[in-house]
Amino acid sequence: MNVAIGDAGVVVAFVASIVASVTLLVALRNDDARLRRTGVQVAWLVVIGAIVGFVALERALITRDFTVKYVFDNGSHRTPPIYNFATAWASLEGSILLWGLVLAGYVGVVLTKFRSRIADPLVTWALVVVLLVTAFFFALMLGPADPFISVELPPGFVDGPGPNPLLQNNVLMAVHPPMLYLGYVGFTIPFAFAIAALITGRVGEGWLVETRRWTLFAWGFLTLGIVLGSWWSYDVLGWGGYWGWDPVENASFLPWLTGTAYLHSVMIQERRGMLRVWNLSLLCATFSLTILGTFITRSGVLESVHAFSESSIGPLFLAFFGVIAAVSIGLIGWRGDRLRAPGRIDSPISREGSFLANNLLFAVFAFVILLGTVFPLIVEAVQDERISVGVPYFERMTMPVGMVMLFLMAVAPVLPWRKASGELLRKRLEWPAWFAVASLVLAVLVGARGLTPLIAFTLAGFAAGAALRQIVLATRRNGWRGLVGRTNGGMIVHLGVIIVAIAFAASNSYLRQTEVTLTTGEAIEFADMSFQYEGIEIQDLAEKRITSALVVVNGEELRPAINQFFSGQSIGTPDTLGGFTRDTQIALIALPEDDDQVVIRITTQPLIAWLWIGGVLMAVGTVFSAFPHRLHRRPTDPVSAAPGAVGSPPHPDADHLKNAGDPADPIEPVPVPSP
Amino acid sequence: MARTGFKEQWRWLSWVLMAIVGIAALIVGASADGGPQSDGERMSELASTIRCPQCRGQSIAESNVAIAREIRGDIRNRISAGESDDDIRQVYIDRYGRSIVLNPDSGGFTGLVWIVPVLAAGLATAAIALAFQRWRIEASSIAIAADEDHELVAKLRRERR
Repeated sequence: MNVAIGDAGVVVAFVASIVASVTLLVALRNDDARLRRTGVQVAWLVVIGAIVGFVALERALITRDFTVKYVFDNGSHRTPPIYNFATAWASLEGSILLWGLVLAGYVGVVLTKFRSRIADPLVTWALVVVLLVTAFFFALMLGPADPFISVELPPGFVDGPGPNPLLQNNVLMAVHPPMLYLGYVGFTIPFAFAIAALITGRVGEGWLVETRRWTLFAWGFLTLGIVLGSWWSYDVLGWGGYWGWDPVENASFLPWLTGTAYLHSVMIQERRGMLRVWNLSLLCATFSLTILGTFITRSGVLESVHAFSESSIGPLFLAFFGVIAAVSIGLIGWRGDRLRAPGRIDSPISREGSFLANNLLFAVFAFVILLGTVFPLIVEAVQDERISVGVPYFERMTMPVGMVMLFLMAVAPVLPWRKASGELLRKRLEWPAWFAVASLVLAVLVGARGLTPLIAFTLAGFAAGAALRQIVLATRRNGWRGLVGRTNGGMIVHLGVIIVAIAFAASNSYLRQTEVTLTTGEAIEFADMSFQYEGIEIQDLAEKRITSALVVVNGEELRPAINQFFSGQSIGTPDTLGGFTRDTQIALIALPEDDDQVVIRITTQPLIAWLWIGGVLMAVGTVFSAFPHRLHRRPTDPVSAAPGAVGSPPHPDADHLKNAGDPADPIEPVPVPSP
Repeated sequence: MARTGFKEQWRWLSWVLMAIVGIAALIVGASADGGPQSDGERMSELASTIRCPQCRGQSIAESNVAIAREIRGDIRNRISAGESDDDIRQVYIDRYGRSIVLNPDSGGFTGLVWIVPVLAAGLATAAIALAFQRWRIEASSIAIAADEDHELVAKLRRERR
């Protein structure tokens, strides 16, 4: 029954996405309004099909319908309700279905948001691109990633194994993947508009403005997804780590980097009409990297702790990646003549110049990570030798880039457009620089030592000073409106990034770790704390047995445990004594052989909590920057060039007057009066 | 007005003061701190550069499987026996091959992973610098208005009036 419903949903979604895109294309060609309406109606069927499919899978999981292979493989009567619900994305087929659902959801939003402008070829083409991507995912569900296969229950069957224990050991697993998918999949929309702009030849700034919020939305969720993912690693893996430069983590980080670069460089294009090719390439790269990332996650070509589900689906993703890359490059090449923009940047010491530097840094950052991630494959192919590229490489290579980024975050926000004088910089950077010195002194006073972390703290203080300066000036001028709008919200995001950077530097530099064997009643001192082992506690739950060691840390009881799932696997569950200044985490290394003795690992590091606080602040800032700073300007109003005026950036002098002031002036561009 | 002038005049002092305080704090902060303090911490640091041979994508320091615990114990013993970090790493390279270390070699073909990003960053910076150079030349060729341009503008203005 569930198989039939689910299959029906998937088939409807697949067929509808193909039919809708073809119908819309024909309608576009003949400018047939009736046909276009039909296309839109069929496109809604994609949404309905996806919902039906997903509901069928959840229904099968909740009713423990083991005749569905997915439930047979991943379900269990013992799994608690929330993890049972989240089992829908615990394995490959389900996560592809979730991808399809999210994508269909975006289709629905595009249909609603642009319902009155569907006749615009740009919108029609964008819709067609999204529908074709949707068709790919639903095609996967008809072939190698079919979530609805029926199985004969073997005689004497009682219960399934349940989802991967790592995934049902922490509640974050119910939240992290949907967030990540909202981000990952969300980049499909700006990509679709970019492709539509290339196809229709309307490569001016109109499409950018249409997709600005979509990009921001996707970026915000991707950020949240990554932060929640590292929180999960920290809570589950038990060695104090939250970011391991693992291929799968890198795969989620790569589109984040190119997406961030895009969010910055797009501002040059909106204002000056420049960098058209670059921005289009960044969007296409971001979307392709989400597909490449999925290939890396799902194919098992690279070793990763997170490779939860491998299958034959890898080559298909690689092929899809190839198609997307070829189409993007081909279209950009084809439209080359229209993409040339005759603008110029007057001085490297300017807002534009700093955005360029920003893009250079993000591109280098992304390149380092991509190269490091795939390099073992390259070496194996060329030299037939196996090597590993791991944490030490990534840390050494990205650290300098990160430092320069912090410096740029300090200088860039105070720079005016066009050109800055030394005098101006000295004036505007004075307070941020004092902020830098103050944070350095504070760090030294609280006992931070070592050149590298101290430089990081100083630069972070510098950047925070610049961001706070902008926020203070803007709120003084505009009240609470000084917190919203792209520039001000962006500064809140910057503050979040800075907090994460400080927490990252501090927790990495001042991590202290030890592994000790304790007998009952024994106490040790480590890092100015006392640890006393009190004995073993065993608790049996429906799905697992929890063996925990009671350790008293400075009077607080911690219970690091090992959970043995009845499916056979057992995984550690560390316990953490958290705080705003310091986290102390204890992990039980192995099941105690006798009750009297345990081996535990103690990890203590400062400022961990601020990683999550900074992450949340980034999300909040993203929301703030999505609000318009001024109400009277419609977001679709032209900003630097009329949408039709391809290849004609505003007269350079038009910028002069309105940019002479402080950047804390409303940066949201004022429409340029047409000459 | 006089006050702003005063402020402007003394701004440099603020920067000098800043530099002095900053450098002093850096000297105090950077002078201490050596390498890892205890054998245990040296072990952790070394273990984080060695890949766990049985698990996927985790280092010896992170993993809890038996072989990882065994290697950690072995590293600890070797440290107390006075072996250097490189010696210990070599032992594992001999036993498991080059892929056991998470830090790629800096020589040979593998060295490219270190060099290529630096080269790419350098080239990209050079390209941007070149672009600015070109923009400056363009700007200078456009910006200078000849006398006849001024005349032309003045004439047009008169005519419009």
